[in-house]
Amino acid sequence: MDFPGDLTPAQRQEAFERLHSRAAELWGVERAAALEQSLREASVAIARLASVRFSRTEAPGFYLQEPPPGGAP
Amino acid sequence: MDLSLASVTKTAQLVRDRQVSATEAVTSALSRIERSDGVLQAWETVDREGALRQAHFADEAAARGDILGPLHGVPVGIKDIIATASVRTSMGSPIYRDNVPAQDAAVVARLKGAGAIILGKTVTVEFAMGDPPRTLNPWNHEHTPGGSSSGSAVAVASGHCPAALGTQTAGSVIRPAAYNGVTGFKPTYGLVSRRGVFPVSWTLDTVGWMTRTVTDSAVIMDVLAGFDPADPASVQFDGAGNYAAKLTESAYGPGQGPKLGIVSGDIERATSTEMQAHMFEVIELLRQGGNWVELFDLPISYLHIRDAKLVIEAVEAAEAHRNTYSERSEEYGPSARVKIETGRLLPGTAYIQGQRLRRQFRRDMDEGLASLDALIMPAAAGPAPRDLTTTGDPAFYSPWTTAGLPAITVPTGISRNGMPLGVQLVGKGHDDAGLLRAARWVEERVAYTPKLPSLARAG
Repeated sequence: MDFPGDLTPAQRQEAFERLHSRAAELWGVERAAALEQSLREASVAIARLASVRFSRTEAPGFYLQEPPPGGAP
Repeated sequence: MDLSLASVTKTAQLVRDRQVSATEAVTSALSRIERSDGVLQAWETVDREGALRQAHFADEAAARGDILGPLHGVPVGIKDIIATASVRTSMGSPIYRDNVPAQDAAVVARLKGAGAIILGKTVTVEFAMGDPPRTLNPWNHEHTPGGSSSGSAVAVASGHCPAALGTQTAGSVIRPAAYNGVTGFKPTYGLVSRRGVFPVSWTLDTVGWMTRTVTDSAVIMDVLAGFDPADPASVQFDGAGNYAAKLTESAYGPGQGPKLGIVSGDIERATSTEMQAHMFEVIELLRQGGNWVELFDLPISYLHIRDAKLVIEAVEAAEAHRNTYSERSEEYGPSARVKIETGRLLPGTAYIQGQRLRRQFRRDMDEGLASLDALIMPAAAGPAPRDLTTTGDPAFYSPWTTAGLPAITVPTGISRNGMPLGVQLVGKGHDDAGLLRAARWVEERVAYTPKLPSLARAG
């Protein structure tokens, strides 16, 4: 897993605009405006997660049923 | 006998020793609720008849010498998103205002099996994710009680009952417990069944509880922990059980305490000056008691764990509400609407990336915590904010909940403006016994005695 630096303002704005346009399409322009703060936070979260470079072995967690390394305490 | 500040353990002992009957314990709880809940609004539904019927049954059993379990005769509250057979379960939503489940949630069935008396349902924030509830903080009505398990925390803090169940997806047990000056415990994800709990997020939700003491948290953990094939997150874990007995195991060297890691970084920066000074005093007290405290380096995966939580929770909440929302969106409050509508927009790849990061963060935390008993940090940025438009900041809890780690808050003092302060401890995955033991040690060293808030006494 590799973490590049944080997003630039331009990357944040681009991510927001992409999500905002999807919101306007699904919920309408009025609701998209009501969602603005949430869309800003979610778009940054999506873009940051997308910037992480995972290796193929780093699988999703879902139900977190693995014992800790070295076995359960 | 005044039972308003009696713990679970004390109440159970009094009933077991026939000094108080279950009916007296329940009648006394009902009269305290009647006295102050008109103002505090901690309860959505008080099941007076049902509770008295259960108490009568418990007393009959006791008269035959039959003690039903470790909670025999102990009155408890249940957050109103947890199903209770024949008792209305509204999820804090007008959509479910007349919903009466046919079956108890797994945790309610276990409580009843252990002899507990279900007093009724405590107020939840709408679907445990919406706008602040009508419940008031008994320490000062102008300050938020926290949420989403608002009613459970206020009921315990106000002396209505010695324990109440809540649920936590980010900080919904620990935060209201801290804001109201009671002990709040959230076990490792997967150890306690969520069958019958209305979901916010299947991969994050955990049942937790508020009590007056760490010992009480362990006693309830003994009752509620266990494998349930009906909950896909449930784990079969050999080390589960005997949590209360393990509290007194001598895990530390003579004259020594648990090894605790202090979290710095963004959590420290978000903490108020008053809370920082309080933490410093607590840490000094623990050091004098033989406690080992060292700085804990958060792993790099911590950087984006709140992003992972945001995406996972929004996507899963949107899916959990898909059918109802498509038909009755107008009946949802503003915050729930925003979360559901945002969740529907997020791409599947982001959800999977969030789940990948989450697993890595859990592994990193378990590895980092291997040589420690727990992390210690403020239970909140400061006392409950004087703001009724919020339930508080989830930043102090969401990383640990997202990783499925166990967490507990212990009340440790009172702020300058008369509101409760507390510390939070976070343990290794599946080492709930170790976390509870460390928390009990902290509780004993700090020796803070919670009092009943004056507004709960006055009503």
